[in-house]
Amino acid sequence: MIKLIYGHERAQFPQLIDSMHRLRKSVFHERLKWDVPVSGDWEIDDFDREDPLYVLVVDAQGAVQGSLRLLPTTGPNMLRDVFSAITQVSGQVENPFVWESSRFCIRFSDNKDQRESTTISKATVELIAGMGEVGLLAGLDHVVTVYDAFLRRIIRQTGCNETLVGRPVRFGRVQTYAGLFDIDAIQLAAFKKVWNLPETLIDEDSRLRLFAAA
Amino acid sequence: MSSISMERVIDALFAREKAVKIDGQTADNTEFMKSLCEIYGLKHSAYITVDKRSFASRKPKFLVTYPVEWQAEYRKTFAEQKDPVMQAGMSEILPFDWRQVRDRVPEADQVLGLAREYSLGKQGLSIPIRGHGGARALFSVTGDYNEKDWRDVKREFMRDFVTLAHFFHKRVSGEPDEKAPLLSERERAILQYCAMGLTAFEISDRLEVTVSTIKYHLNQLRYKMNVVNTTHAVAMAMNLGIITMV
Repeated sequence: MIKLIYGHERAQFPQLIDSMHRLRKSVFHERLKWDVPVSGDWEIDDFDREDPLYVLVVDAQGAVQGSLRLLPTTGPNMLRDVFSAITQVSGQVENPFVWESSRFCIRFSDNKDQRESTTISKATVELIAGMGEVGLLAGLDHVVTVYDAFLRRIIRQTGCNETLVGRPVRFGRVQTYAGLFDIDAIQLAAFKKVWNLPETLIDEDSRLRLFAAA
Repeated sequence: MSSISMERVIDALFAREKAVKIDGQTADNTEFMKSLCEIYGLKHSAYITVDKRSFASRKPKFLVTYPVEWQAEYRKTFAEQKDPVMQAGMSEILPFDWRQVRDRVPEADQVLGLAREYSLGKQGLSIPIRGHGGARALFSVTGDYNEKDWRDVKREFMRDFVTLAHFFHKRVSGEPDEKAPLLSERERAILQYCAMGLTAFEISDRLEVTVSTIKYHLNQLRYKMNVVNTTHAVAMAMNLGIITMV
């Protein structure tokens, strides 16, 4: 199930928010060893203060199995404010119909190194499909994601196609890419069919909140 | 993709600008808002913005088509305290209907009461804008429709409203734009093909990329140039000599 949380309403979901920041720390700080700010058990940065829209994959026990964070590219975002070297030549990604997804992460299984694994987890395809669903409801044409070669491979293994934007740049120890994803109803339906996902992944409450404008 | 109405709003704005340039006066941005209301059959339109520094103090800038009496009353009411609806709206990320505000913002009654008192419109819709340097803005429109027609207006014109809201924000906030838009080589090539009358599909075929990629570049260059459709982008690029007549 996909749950959406608006940044300014995060206090209403203390457990999910806690679970998400812990997951992010375990993935980005402990596993991938990205240079990310940590605070106690959490990975949390300045962009969490920009009232983003969080997309969470939540399991039956209420634990966050995957998450990402969406921000409009017209305002503060990581690609422009942190990773601008990627788009230095091609030009900044900035228009009302493309949002940025950052901190895309999936819980690793505890007992085996998924860097070597070729199995795609259910949370991975749910998160990708969830991002597509949100994008459609938000009226977007594209989502741009900053990721590393490892995450890129996982996403590509699901059959989800992206186009690279700009050129890969090494930040610290991480080769960093920006990928552009189409937000498209037909592609999303096909993706869901391949992975046997339900027509709607977003939970009822989140959907009602999103539909407020419709 | 972009509607005929949107083109009319901008044409009205440009006509007005030409007129005021002759008079030697500065263009009045509320004229743009008035034409927008007229053309889309809306009642009022409002633009409120705060920059990052004033975000804490919540001292916003206003451009509204609301009656001056409302403006005076509003200023009086919120001279000391903050407007809770505006405050909540500035944190939103997606367009929202004012109908939902009542449930989400318990202290909204005063503001909504004021809106009723001055008949600002039965319905309202706000589009949040995130800009450079952490600037935030809300572009709102109101209407006097029955519920079904209001839903239709939103469904049909949401993309126009989002486009026009960002166009307006860039225009008044002075974010870098129109004077010398630095188009990438790819953007320039696409615009040149547009000038030659090629469709997005035909351009994608020539450049051997997907139609979606062409759509992306068009969104990018329109926003960069701060124009609302490709026709205006072509006209501006020709004026600047970025592309050539064919």
